Amino acid sequence: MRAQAKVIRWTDGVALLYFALALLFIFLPVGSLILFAFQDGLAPVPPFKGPTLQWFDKVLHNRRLMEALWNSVLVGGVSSLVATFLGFLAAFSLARRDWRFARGAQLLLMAPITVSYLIIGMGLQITFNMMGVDRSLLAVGIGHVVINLPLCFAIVYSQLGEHQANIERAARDLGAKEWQVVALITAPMLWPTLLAAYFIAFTLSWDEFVIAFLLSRFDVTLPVVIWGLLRSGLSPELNAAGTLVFAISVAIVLAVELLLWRGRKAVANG
Amino acid sequence: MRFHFSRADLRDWGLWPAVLWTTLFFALPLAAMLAMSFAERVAGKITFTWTLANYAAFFTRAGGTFVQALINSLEVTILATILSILVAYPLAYILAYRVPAKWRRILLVLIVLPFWTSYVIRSYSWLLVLSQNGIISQTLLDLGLIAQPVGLGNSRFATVLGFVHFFAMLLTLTIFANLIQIKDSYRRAAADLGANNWQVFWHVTLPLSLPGVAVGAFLTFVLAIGDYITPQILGGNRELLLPQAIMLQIGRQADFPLASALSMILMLVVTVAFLVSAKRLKMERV
Amino acid sequence: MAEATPRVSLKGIAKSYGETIALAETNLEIAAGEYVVLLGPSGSGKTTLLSILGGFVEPSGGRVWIDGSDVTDLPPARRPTATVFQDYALFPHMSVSANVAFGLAMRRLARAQRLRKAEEMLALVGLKGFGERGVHQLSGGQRQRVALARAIAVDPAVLLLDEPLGALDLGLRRQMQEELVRLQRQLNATFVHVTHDQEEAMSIADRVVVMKDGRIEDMGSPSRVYLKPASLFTARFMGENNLIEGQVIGSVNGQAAVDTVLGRLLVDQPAAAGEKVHLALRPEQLRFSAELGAQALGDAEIIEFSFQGTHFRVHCRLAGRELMARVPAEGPPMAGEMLPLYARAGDLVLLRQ
Repeated sequence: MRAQAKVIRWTDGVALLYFALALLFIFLPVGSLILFAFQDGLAPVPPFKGPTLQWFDKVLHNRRLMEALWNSVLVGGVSSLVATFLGFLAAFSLARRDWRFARGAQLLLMAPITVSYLIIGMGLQITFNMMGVDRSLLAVGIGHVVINLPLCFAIVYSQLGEHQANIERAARDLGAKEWQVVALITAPMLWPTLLAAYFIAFTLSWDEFVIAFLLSRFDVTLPVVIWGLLRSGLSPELNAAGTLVFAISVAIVLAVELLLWRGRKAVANG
Repeated sequence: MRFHFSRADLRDWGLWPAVLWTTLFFALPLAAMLAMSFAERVAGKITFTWTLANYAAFFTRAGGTFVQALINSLEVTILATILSILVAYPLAYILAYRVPAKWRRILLVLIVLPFWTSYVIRSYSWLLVLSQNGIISQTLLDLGLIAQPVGLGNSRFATVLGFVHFFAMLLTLTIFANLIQIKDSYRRAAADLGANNWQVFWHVTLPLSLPGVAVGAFLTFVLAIGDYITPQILGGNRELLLPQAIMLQIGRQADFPLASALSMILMLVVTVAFLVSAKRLKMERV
Repeated sequence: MAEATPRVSLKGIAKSYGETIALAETNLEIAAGEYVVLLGPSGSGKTTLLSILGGFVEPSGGRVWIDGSDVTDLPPARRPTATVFQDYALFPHMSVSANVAFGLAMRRLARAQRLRKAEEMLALVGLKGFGERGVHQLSGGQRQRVALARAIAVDPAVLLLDEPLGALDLGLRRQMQEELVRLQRQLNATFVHVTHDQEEAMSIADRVVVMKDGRIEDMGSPSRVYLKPASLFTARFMGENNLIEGQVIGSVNGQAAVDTVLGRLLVDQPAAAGEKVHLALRPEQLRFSAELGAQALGDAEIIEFSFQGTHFRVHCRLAGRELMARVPAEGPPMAGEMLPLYARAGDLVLLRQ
């Protein structure tokens, strides 16, 4: 009857096929990682025998892995907090005051994004060496703040629009002191953004290997331990550890997604 | 009173902690590395002799291994960038124009979900897929396409594949973000003036989406050329890429001066790439 | 006029989105060389109608004919129409002349030829020598002209204009209205123009099509639609109007007598006895003396007034009804003053529900 209804374009089929192949490509490695974490056998390769939870059990009772997991949470948690806080302060200051060198400051703050983690890590290693500071989780955390600060800054800065500035002006006009404006107006309005920045920084720190590898010594983070395990080749235990790490990352990302979604909905309704 | 003012107004001092942090822990270390690249290691001791020996070593040491490493890095990175664009563009296009709006967000989340696997573990996962008794080899055997198991890991192919897997996701995001910002009326106007679907794409959609491609390609290039993990896990030791060469100098050799010089060269390459893509972006705007 | 094939013929065109009816079954014919304005508030279906004509929206029913051929199933690219978009949609990555020549390039015209034509079109809209500029270097009014040049460059059988002047400020809008009319006469082209601005519609249209809730409410020359609106909605929508409810007593010699709060009034239109109707009277048609057989309405009390240059706009009350009148600038009114009002039977418009 209607022209559009009767025409199912052949390109739609091609598009669908392409999309399906792309998803297969995207999920093939993660899929096999998760599948063979349940392998009832010594090699995480086909054919699939199982399922079994023995490898997860083994991972959860591996003290070195569990210690590293705790270290990762600690480093990620604290460094992300620092990065988000510093990023927020800088973004607020840059967005709300005319700095003569605003562009230069932005370039400096964003610069670490363009530099390889390897180089950032090595630079810190050399510097700490020169100053006689020992390699430690603290050093790793400092490095992770360096790589996450640009992201946190950019995320917060992009959300500090004129709309918020007007509300802040109104608050000032009504007699709020500057710290009250920030604490009672700006931060509450931004909280979904701040949380999103925090969790994105956390997942990046949680996953980061090179800096952690170069700057830690006895206490190490999870990716460093996993790197060590890689040397012994493919093993279902590694699959199980990877699956757990992936699950935690995905949980955080989905939480952020939900948070942002609810934040947007609140904005749309409000 | 002045004290009160400067303490209370966040707008006046908020910038400084971040600037201080970035200066202390980013700019200063880079400066230290730059200085280190002109130093010498004599009998295990590092002395600042302001020599160009480390840069000379880049060209001459070990029969040109380092120059070859840079060439390998450039080849792998450029290949990975181009392939990532080719994989990502259709995906972003389908997502932007063929997928109903209500499905877009969920599909986008789905596409970038593996983005959040740990980088080390993602490379390991590809090793699983590509190894001699891995899924691909097994599937090909079962289909009767090959007679003997093939190991696809430990090769340049595997490194490029790992890169494409990661950066195609990134490029899909930047290209998609660009495509949905192109006003619908441009495409409608082109169609109205007699352009067929192909012409609309070629004359309107593609040129207007190039900034998204350039941003994604730049990020891909920068992140891939400086990456140590993927070539180390997937490339095996068949060939050396520049980050691997740098890591070797720090690790086994503890030759920080040479490692610093190699890093400076790596940064120089990235800067050139930045200038090239910035110029390209500016041209697109006119 | 002889019964030539109309340039555009819409037969039973309708559009609905699920339960929502954007356009009820609509018929419309447009002659070649006509300047038609689709006028209505937002949601009236005027843009839907234009989009169906351009091929951007698929009608749920009905056929679209242009120059005697059915184009209903043709995509925009293959229709002899061209659209001037509300946001102009000038390609930002192309120069002005590349924009204007775009349609010709798609028709595989040789480069030299299409550049010549682009120059011609730019000269026509008063932008001679602007070809090399970038789109972002142009002002709003200049962009509007480029969009126009780009659309007419492909010699469309019908030019569709979707709120083309909406983004311009008032002075520029008036100027562009005149230029649109000049251009349309010069090219002897067929223009279909969508707007929600009734003044714009009246100043440019050969024929105004008033739309509301997906239906054509009224259609005709601007003066007819303004002075003798066919519906209550049109009477309200086109400028200010005084509306008085009443009941028809009977008709004699094509004149109806209607009982209203202002007394029994005669109207130059027949109507059946007992019918409930509205009488519409423009403010400028309220008279202040019994000239030419005008009927007395009574003495109205002036509530407030404002000076409009050529006249005073007077707000007054009569028998509990508020009326709007225009008093010549020479005789300034005073609040509280009583104003005798009269209306001619030929000025009153009888409107059914």
